[in-house]
Amino acid sequence: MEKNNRIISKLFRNSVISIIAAAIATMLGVVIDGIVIGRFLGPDSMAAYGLVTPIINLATAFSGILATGAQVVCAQHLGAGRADKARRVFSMCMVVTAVLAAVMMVVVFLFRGNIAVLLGANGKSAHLLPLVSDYLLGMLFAFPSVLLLFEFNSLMRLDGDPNRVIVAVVVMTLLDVAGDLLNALIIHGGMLGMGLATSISYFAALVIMLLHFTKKDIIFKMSLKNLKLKDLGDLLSTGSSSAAGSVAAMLRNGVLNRILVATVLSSTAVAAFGVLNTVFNFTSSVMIGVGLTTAMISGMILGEEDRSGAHALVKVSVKTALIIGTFLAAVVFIFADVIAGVFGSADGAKMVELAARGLRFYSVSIILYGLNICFVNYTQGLRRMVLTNIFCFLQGFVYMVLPALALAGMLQTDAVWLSFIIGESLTLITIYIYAAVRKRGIPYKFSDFLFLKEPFGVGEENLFETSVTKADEIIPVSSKVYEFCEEKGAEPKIATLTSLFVEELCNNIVEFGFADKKPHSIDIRVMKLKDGWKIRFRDDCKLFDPTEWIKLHQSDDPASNIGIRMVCGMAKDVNYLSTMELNNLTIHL
Amino acid sequence: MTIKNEKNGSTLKLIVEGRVDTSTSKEFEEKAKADLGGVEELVLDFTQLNYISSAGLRVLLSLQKIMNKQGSMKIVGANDIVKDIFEVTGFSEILTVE
Repeated sequence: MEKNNRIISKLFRNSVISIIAAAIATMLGVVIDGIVIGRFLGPDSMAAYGLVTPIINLATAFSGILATGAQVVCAQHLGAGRADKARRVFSMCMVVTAVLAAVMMVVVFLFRGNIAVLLGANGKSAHLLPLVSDYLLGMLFAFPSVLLLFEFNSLMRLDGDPNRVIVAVVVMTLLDVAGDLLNALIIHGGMLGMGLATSISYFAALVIMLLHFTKKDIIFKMSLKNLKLKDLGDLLSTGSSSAAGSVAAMLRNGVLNRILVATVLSSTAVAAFGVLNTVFNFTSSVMIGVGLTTAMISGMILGEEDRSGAHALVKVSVKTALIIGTFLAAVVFIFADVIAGVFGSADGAKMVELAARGLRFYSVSIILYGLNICFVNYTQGLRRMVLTNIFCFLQGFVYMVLPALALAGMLQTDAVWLSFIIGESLTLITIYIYAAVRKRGIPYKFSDFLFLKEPFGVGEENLFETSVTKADEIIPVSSKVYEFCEEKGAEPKIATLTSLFVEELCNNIVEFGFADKKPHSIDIRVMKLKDGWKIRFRDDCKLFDPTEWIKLHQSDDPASNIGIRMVCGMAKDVNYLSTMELNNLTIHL
Repeated sequence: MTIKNEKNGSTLKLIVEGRVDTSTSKEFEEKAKADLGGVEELVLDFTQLNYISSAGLRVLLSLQKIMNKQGSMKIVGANDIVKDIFEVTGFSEILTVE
């Protein structure tokens, strides 16, 4: 089996930036609000903003479940060539999102006062009730956008429109900063104005994303026909690990806050932890972006049962996590004082000093967090939901809270800062032990961490994989394909046709797809199945559907489109699918 | 790919063995056209031919156009796979295949 996965690595690198951008976007608006409120509206408004955060967390938690579920399930369907099922799942996701957004808006609008009390605007903090209520009223218009943005993030990528998310994020951020400053300095609209400014900026981003659906050749088109409850079940079960992560985070923060309140520094420590959590939200968004990219591609790999693709994915995912994690860790460690100072000094220099100390401890855990998130998302993409949920809960709650509780008496606030390092270390050790148990030995290669449920795909002995990057590689590959088929007992006709299809299609792709002079690759898999043979071509050239082309260009000219006519005329079945800006052609013989 | 030719008066027989693909089609075309002067009947013996791609078919088309002006061309001994290729691509309508 030769190497076949330049495209997977290239796809990962191309996807991760826009997915990270969108992951940051879902929480950036709220973070910007926090900074502007802290700087310009005073401590009561800042406290009110802090009280509303759980509602935003709830919206992003719902969004996370649907987004993660839709991404993985749709990617799996597309990887298996089932575009109609992917569309159906997408439509179900949109229906559920619309209902959820409507319910959240109505509930918050009608009961914002009660919600404010529930969030903590009572007793000594009763004076915060109007501020919390105003902020909720302004923010509720953002709920549809918050829910949809996260979902569209990965779906746009699957549907060949990856840059739209980046444009939407940039526009949203600029509008949010401008709107917040306008409100704080000129309009003086208070917390209602802050919420409305955020809602307007999220809405602008949503409009930009919705323009995608005006394009002609897209996979995801909304349809209310043939919706199935089974798809909702798939969405929710696959996205459940996202919920597990959110619940774990909420419980963790609650327990760690309690530990900090019990220390000598109490409220200063809680405020410092608030700063650390905000930085954690930002850095984890970046690493979650790497994780979401991993989950999306692993879903596609699952659909196609592509073992070597899984190997390539784990390799590039780990490398990316290490590079980005190291960079973020260095930035947080070196600039800890500056970062802590950005959030104002409501509690004075002591809070900033404590927050900076916490950030330095935390920075050490960032690399480990990145690696753990990649593996958790990878197993989620493979629909190993029990495993994923266990990892999520251990990482997000158990492995952090238990060390913090154990060390609190001895180390006070440092117990909380250390819990990040200890928690991520224990999670990584758990993943390693799991790999060792599966292997019944010492895992040390990437292939030891694939965690595939066997039997997975075609056995290596019945699989031929290779890549073509230049024209002069085509004939040698075509000959090797013939030899492989012959060796595996294929009839002469099958061996000849398989070899012929490789030559014809690769020639077409090289002639027309490689013409832009950029580096390209054609990944080829030839598989001996129980009931026949299958060839899969995947390339990263401009999108081209040969099956549609031949229908539109039936011609009397005998010299035109000979290769495509051969393939479409002599194969049992030819299926084209475009996903993630890749051409995927599957041929059955 | 190997090509042997047998000339008998104005009849030229080309015995093609092996594969006619993108890498060998140019050689096939050059060798076939080199001896076409004065030929009134061109016979392509494909008994030992086990593979022909679109590159090879374009050469056949080119040879057929030449022979349409100076005589005739026919293909003999093609196996079932090669005949299927002619059929699917419509070349069985253009070429004389026995």
